[in-house]
Amino acid sequence: MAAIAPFIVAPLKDLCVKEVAANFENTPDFGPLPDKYVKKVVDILPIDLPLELAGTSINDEDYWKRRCCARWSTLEVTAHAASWKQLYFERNLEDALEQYDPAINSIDDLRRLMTYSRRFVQTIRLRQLPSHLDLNIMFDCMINSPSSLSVHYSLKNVGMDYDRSLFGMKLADCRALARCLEKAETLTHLDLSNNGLDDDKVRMLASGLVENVSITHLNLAHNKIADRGMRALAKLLDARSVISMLELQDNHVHTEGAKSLARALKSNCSLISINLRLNRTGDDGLKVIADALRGSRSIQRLNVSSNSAGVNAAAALAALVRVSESLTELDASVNTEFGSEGVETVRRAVEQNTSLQRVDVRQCGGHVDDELALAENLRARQERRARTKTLQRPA
Amino acid sequence: AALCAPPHAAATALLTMSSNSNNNNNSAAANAMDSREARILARRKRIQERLASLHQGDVGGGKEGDKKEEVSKGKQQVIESMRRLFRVKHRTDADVTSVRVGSDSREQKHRVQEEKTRQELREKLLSEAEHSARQNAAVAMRWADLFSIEVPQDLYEEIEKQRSACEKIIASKDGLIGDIKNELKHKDEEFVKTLKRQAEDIDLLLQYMSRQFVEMQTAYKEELGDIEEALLQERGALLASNRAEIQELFDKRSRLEQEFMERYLASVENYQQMLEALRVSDAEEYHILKIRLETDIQNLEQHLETMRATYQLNTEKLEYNYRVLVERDHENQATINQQKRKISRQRDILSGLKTRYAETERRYLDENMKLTDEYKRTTEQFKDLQGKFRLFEQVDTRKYAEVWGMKEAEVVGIVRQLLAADKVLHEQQLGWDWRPPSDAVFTVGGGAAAEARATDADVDEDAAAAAADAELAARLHDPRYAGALGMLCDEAGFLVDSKAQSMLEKLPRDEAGRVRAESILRALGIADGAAFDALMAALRPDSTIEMRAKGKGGPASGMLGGGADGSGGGGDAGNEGELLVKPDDAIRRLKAYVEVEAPARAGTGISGPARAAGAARRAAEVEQEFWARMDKVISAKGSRVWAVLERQLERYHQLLVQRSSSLNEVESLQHQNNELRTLLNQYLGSRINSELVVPPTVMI
Repeated sequence: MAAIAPFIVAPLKDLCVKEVAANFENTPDFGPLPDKYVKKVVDILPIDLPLELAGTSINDEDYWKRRCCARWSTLEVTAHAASWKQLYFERNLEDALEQYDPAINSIDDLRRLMTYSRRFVQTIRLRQLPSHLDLNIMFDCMINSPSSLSVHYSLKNVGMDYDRSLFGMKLADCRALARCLEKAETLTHLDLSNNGLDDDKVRMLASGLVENVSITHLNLAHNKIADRGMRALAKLLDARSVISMLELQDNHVHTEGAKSLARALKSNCSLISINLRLNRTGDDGLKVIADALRGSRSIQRLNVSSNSAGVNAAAALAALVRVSESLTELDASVNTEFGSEGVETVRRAVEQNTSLQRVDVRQCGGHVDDELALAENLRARQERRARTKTLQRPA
Repeated sequence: AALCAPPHAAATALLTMSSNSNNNNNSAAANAMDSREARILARRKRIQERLASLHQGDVGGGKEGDKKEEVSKGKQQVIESMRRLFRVKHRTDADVTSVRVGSDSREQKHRVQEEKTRQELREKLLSEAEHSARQNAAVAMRWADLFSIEVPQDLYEEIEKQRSACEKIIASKDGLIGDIKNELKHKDEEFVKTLKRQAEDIDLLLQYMSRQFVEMQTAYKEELGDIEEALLQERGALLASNRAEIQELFDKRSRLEQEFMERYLASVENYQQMLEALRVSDAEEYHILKIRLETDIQNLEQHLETMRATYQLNTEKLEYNYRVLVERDHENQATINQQKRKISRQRDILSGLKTRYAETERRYLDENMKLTDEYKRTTEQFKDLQGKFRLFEQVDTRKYAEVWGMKEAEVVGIVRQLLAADKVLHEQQLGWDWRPPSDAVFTVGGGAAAEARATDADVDEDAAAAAADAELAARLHDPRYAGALGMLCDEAGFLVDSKAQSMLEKLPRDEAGRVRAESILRALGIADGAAFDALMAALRPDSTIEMRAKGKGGPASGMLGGGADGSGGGGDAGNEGELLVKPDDAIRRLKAYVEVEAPARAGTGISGPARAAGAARRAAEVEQEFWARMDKVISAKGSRVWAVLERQLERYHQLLVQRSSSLNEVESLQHQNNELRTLLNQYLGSRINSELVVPPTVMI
């Protein structure tokens, strides 16, 4: 075969396909070409076509997969709505933003990139932003997009050039972002974790978030939010708030902050998940939060692990568990002052509850048997649920 | 603490991430700590125990058992496997997350500790600041004193003192700085330690994750094998049972086939026997039939012979007939030819006649046209004539009316004169009581007749009908007739028609009575005042309508009766309204009335001329009646009285004449006497006497 191959003239169709592919850049249109040949053409198209042209005229996933795989090594397409095209555009834009340097790159190029990328970009995850670019530019260029924004003002691979000032959000960044948030109407996920946000910066952000009615997932984990910042955030969680997921783990929230949060929770009806892991709310703070949540019908996940809470908080949590019909997950681990008594009350409460699927009270100073009984109870419950599901499935 | 924060945060974030995606990760590491292993084993044992107790004590245990019996083995195995897998997953999950929990706990402790040291440090700083400030103040105060010292040695000493004091302050500050530096170093070490610790944690986590992965994989494999085995077993059992069932079904089928075969053979046997019997019986029948048919054949052959003879005869006859017919045919042929010729001749005649006919038709058409014109002219003339006739008729009628009026007035005058004479005769001559006849005698007749005539002549039918209706309505409302109408309603209610009946129910009472009366009158065919009057007359007790109905003598006798009626009525005119026939006789009277009036009225009310004729006839009747009444103003008895009176008066007249002549005689005689006397006296008184010898006087 291989020997004869050079003497066989390729079919005209293949020749045409090749020709179309070679000239695609000049005439980026398939015209009335049947889908079969379109596919063939796309299969042999060069992957260095201009992005604007490729974005408007090529929707073939295989082409984009080819292009992505050639550019990056580790790819997770499911994180980009299972679309290679979206993945390419998002990663491309992220790279451009992360590597943007006002001294080298032109802001107009960036604007243009954002303008034609906006049709395909949903999520933006910036793992570094050394330029401290004013994100207003992005929101101006990308109307109705993106829906998810994650920014970490840090620097990757810094090595021995470490300087504290390189990390964390500045007050000016906060101000700019707050202005963006006032206008953003499509943003639903906002992730500002690990940005060294202190009370003043959080207050600045909150002034922008107050005007926003679209963000449902707010992630402020691994920051330095203390009581004053918490008070500012609590103001966001009023009755007309739409925030359903609030991540505040690893912050410096103390009892006062917990109290202001509890006050806000009393009137709130949108929160589904609250994460307060690794804070310092203490016994009283956690107690008022648990009491406040008792009236909530929406709360499903509550994480209050590592909060130095004690017996009072355990009793309040037990009362919450007894009453609530919506709570499915409760993590109260590493509250060492619970003691065996607290853990036991929680266990009793869980036995009365029907909705809970996951409870964690490890390292709470409780009796091992209580912990095990709790785990066993929940596991048995889960097994029962799975079994009924199996039985109900048609044979 | 500030230094430590970012790396730690990164580590915790990593831990969170990895714990969230613990099921997907896989890496190779298999180092386990002995103590951990031992703990895990102990925990597992406890879990098993708890599980056993839980299953025993489970309230729904019995139920579950029942349920399990129901479900198939494969499914049961699936459930069991699921449970086992759950258990494995739960256990390994707990292991994996325990790393995070442990690190959280450490971090928590560390933070508490850190806060404490920070507090301490701050306190130390504050106290040192206070202390040094105090000392500073003391030093500063002493500076002023230095200026007052004038002895150089003293000054030196003092300055030395100041310097030592300053050095003390600096030393304490340095000490604090050293403390803080120590703290910083400590932090650095701690940071490094934490990093190491976290690296260890991450290793541990990876190890746990890989172990979980391996365990889960093996568990899944085992369970998959178990499930497959269970399913295979189930399938085998199912196949065996199905095979047995099929075998059973096959057996049943062969048995059934056997039975069917037996039954089939038996029935075949049976049918053959029946066939045999049928054959025998058929053969016998066949023989009998054959014999009968043979005899029949013989008979028929004989018959055939006779028939042949007959046919021979017939043939001869027919041959003769044929010859005759041929002859006739010739003749007919000749006749036909003749007829054909005749036909052609006739055709010629026909064509001639046709031309003549056409000619004649044309002529007649012309004639017809002429006649039509003439007819039209005649019609116009006739119309003119009619117009003239109508004109003359009107004139005649008017003249007649005038004459009538004149004559009537004359007659009335005469009659009144007559009545006056009658009255004089009665009252003066006979000394009787004289009763005058009613005024109706004069009023009814002439005016109505004239009016009727006038109506006939001038007024058209609608107006006449309206007038008649108005007249009738006026009569109906007249209280004089209320009694008669009431009786009519009571006795002849059956004449009310259904439409009026239905209407009656809605109306008030008096209105209903009137409507009912109207309906009855309509049924009786009464449409105008005159007819109504006739009816009222028929309902009077002294009516002769029944006699008239029986006799049907005709209008003259009717009129005579009517006249008599009228004169009779003249006698008791005062109580005319109240008098009615007895209710029992009312129907009979009505019937008679209908019989009398119906033929007369048959044509009326339908067409104008007939109606006019009827009116004229009625007017004539009225006139006749009037004349008759005029005739009968003085009754026969009156006439007789008059005749006798005349006779007697004539006699008396004669007597009176005699007397008068006698009186005249007496008168003449007396006159003669008177003359004679005078003469005598004359003679006696004359002078001659004296001269005379003897006077006469002497002699007397």
